Amino acid sequence: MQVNGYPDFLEIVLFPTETALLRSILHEIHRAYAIPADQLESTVRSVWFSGEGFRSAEMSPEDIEEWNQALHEFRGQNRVRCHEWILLLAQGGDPLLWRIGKEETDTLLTMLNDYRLYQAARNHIGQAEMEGDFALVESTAQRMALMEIRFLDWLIEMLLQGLGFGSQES
Amino acid sequence: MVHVNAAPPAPQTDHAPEIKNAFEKGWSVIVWNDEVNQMNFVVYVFQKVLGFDRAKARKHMLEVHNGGKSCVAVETREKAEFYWQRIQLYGLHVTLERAA
Repeated sequence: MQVNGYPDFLEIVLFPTETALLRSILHEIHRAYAIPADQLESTVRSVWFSGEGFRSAEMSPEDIEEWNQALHEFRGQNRVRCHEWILLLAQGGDPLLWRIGKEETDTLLTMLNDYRLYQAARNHIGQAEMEGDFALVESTAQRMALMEIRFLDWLIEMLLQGLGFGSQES
Repeated sequence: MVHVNAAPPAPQTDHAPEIKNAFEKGWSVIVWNDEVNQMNFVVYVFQKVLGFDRAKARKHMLEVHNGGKSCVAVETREKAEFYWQRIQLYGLHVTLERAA
């Protein structure tokens, strides 16, 4: 995988295994974005909708409902773009050259990060698991989730660098 | 001709707290540490949403990382809510609190 930055777009170079993995990630995020907040797994709901902030913000139950609905609709709008990318990745290629406009990259970054949070929440992944050797993790589901999270760490980091937001020192 | 030299009517004060609340920069936007978000991604979000330059964004990210939280803005309720929602959409753990 490689990301090349150009003035108006980024070129993401993906090899077949990477394309397949990213496509399956986008499939899952497309499905999960359609689920209303109250039907999501509680662990995922707590990271995507962050309920604990409402008390200190002094919001009424009606305001909270409206707030969560707005967040859900925003994610729902991104499903259209997500579906387009799934179709694009389905075209394949060895490697696949994916040119993405810089203005669209923000949506992709948000989606990829949402998926990291989603997988970490569903599989009870915290700092210890993030920093440990994932090959030693016993649970297959957790190991798979960690593999996807680390793949996305890599992609997000390269996208940020392609946009000029990455840094040498960190 | 009658000259009325009366003072203008006193403004109604019923809505004063709401008006004060709306215009006063009395709300803090707090970003909390979490175990999953990447440091460079947090810097990106601060630059993108709050308009920080890289150095300021990085300073706040390190506050979050090392101290557990950082107050990234003190604003009017409306603007603080805007920041809160935008930052939340990027998946960061963020809350809104009355400024001390």
